[in-house]
Amino acid sequence: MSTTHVRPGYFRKNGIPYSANVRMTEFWDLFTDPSGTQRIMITQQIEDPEYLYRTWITTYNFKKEPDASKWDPTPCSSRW
Amino acid sequence: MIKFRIFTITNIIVLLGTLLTSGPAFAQIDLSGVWGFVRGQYGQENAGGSDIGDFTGIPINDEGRAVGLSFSAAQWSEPERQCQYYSPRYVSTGPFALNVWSDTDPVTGRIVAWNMGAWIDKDIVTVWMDGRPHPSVNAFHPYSGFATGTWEGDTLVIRTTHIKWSVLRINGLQHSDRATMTQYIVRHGDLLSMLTYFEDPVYLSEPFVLSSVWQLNPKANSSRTSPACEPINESPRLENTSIVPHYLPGKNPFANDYARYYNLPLEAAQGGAQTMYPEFRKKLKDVYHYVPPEKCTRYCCDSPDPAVKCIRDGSGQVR
Repeated sequence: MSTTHVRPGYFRKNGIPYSANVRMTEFWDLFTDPSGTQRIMITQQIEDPEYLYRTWITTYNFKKEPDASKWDPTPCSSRW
Repeated sequence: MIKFRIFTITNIIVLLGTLLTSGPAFAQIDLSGVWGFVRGQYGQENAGGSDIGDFTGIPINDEGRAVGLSFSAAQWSEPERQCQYYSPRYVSTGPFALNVWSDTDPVTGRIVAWNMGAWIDKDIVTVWMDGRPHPSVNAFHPYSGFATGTWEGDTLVIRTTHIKWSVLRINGLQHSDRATMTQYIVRHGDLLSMLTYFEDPVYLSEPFVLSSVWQLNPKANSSRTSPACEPINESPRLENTSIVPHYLPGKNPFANDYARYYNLPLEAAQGGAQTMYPEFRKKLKDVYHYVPPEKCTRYCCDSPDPAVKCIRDGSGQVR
């Protein structure tokens, strides 16, 4: 997955920024773990000519919930 | 003409049959090479090291927490521990390059095993791909554990058993010799991603799941075997060499330091499965409100503000 044309924002809540020129490439891998639960591993490559010296590479993983009962997004906040 | 058509159709059927039955050979992805550690993720883990008492997000049970709080870093001053290997779980958070190569059957050309190279403190892990079974549960537990692999599509799935008791986190958390590990390895061009699913019926109440990534880098400093280790004191020499450094239950003077430094609720700092999930925040919502520390008392160096003194640890002393 390739993402461009984003508005400037923050990588982290502590103020580390990204610019409008940031480019993100993602690889999504889906697995079924030994308990039968589905998990997604997301590998990200992020390039930002304004705020990053080199490509930032990292991974995240998510566990699939059986239903949406825990889906409860909250308003964003830039305060601690 | 009819004979020619029958011959051609027969050839196509044979060709298709060959392609379909040889699927597993084509399904294997070449994982070999030197994969450089991508620093950033787990930076705290393998730079300064995790704080004593920081068990956040780790699904330890009460026994796991008790063992973690009994830990004294003075254990690293014992000569017999200075060359002690970590278990294969360390690959998911360790700070080293990963050297991967295969062993091939000289007759059939099939890959018999994948190997993940050693580090100075981790043994070579051989992942058997020839379908051999895992040994008896009573068999010897080597530092490498015993690992077998299968391909599921383009993912190498590794199952590791016979793991030795070892460090789960460098701040004192341990895993038992009954722990098992399932790893999912995927190659995306010059990236190698790994999901580690770690289970321990003794010290964990839920699986501990981590993802890690490496980038192909032939110049990464990596060897396949572990160099000889010479015990060296990296911390103060033990005054009393007749004891194993430890803290009795409730006696660890540093147990609450992490929560205190960052004004965190102790319940969160002490970990457990509930601290892995976002809904844990709701539990704390009405009882905890974050208040930033009045002044920086730790890791305060390199501040552009001249009023902030350089304090590298929790001692409060300028260094």
